[in-house]
Amino acid sequence: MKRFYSMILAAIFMAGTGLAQNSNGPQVELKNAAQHLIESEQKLTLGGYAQVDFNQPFGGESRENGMLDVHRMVMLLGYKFSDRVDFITEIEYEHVKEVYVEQAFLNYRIKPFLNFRAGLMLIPMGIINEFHEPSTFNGVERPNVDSKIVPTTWREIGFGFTGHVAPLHLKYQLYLLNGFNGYDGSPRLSGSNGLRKGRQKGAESFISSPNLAAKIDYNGIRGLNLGLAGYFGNTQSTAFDGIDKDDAAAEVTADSTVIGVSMLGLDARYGIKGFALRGQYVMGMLSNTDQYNVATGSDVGSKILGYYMELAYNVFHEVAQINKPLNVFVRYENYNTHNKVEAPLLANDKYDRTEITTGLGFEVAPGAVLKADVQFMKTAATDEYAKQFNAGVAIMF
Amino acid sequence: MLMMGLLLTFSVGAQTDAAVLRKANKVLYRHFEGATIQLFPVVAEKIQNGSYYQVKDGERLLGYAVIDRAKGRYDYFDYLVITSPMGEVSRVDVLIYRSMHGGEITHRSWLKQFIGLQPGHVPIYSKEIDAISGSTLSARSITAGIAEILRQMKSISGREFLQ
Repeated sequence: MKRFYSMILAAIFMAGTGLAQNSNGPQVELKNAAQHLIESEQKLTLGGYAQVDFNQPFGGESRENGMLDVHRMVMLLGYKFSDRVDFITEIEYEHVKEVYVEQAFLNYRIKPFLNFRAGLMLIPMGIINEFHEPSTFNGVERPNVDSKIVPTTWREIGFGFTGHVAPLHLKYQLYLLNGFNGYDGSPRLSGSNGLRKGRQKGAESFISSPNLAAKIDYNGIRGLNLGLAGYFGNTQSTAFDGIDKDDAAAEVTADSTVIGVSMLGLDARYGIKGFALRGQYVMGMLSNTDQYNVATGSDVGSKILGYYMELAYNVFHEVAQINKPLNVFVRYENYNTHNKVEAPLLANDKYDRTEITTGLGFEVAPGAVLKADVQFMKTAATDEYAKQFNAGVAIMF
Repeated sequence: MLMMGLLLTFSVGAQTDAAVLRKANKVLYRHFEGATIQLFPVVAEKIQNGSYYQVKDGERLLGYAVIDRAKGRYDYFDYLVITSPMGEVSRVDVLIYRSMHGGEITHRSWLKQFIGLQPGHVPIYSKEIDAISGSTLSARSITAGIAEILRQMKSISGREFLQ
């Protein structure tokens, strides 16, 4: 897309320099116009990604309608203020009607190993939260571990540092941000949705205490990407708003609406000769859930845990004539928002979920994938697997 | 001595600015140990991408150097390809990588895959060139850039194309 215009401009430029070498007038103008256009073209980056899905449950005892959805349609805008300063934003339309901003931050590249960043940013935890373009993962839908345990797309407002330390093959991220809305008159966290509904997403977020997010990515071994992430902090609560700083009793009451979150995530990606393996393990320790549940009537677990392993293979990898990958994959997931609960709450089996997804993705062009898969899902409370067929279009540009 | 000043104005497609040239300078001197390096731009109508230079030590042609700019997901990066006098790739370096994502393409071990490729050869990303998870766009971009450079080298190498 941009190459075409560059070529036209270059052609004009080359024709221009072929003109009489002595007259500076038209030659200088041509060069400036071309340079200006090239410069402004290089200042604005336009991109996007989208996911259109078809989900059809099958094999059950009763009839069920299928669902079709423009699940996500996201525009990416990047503007280069100078060689070191960029602004990046992602504007998302979900289910056609809901508009969100997924990212909106300023990046100041002090050195390649030290960037300062501020604004609405993605929390670094797991693979999908940062790499959520649908043409980059297998399966029509994102892994549910990255929905219920890591509440993707998880983004909050804050500031911090990030950088790539080339000699160590390390990338690091360290941010201070606002935390989850745990309580705003009613509880936002639960056993069925975990931390998901606590996301503030930069929409008039409030903060009662800052949270810390950190991640290290290592890619020193050819084909292997390893990530280790941590997230620490208390959930936010409106119960603190307005209480007298000397009122100890009110403070104790407000404290009971706060949960302490300590999350640790390990992820790995390995690619070799047409094979692609992925694995992720995320554990969240939630403190004070006994008080929280009593104070708010919710059913939050004290430990949430999720993991998955996935194996994929491009069946056309060895076929020289075909450059369009056809990836066949299988993924096993388990996630439990009631992995541990604090008395008197009893762990609810239906929150212990196991899913097996298998299917294929055909990349008809770089960034454009046609997907189809079948999912088998069950909870610890049932014996049977519920089945669902999915098909979808996934693009990124 | 590098004769870069006037030659900057003849760069087409890629903005070969001072910082990029300084880094290219270092790489060239490291690669051609012991030589005194002079760069002469190669100018031809069909070259649309990057800045092409003959690398000479006095009268001896050491090879060619191409400085090009390609795009990752969020930002551009500048890279250098050094070839033998016959146009075969002898070294690839990423000079300036700006984005947070995709830095894996700067690793020597990944860039080594391009060494030895002949003029006219079309390297295919994710087949003969290993795919990198998380850097797909940058990796594809640089692979395509090098493919174009090899295409140009077919007509450039072995001939005298002095400006």
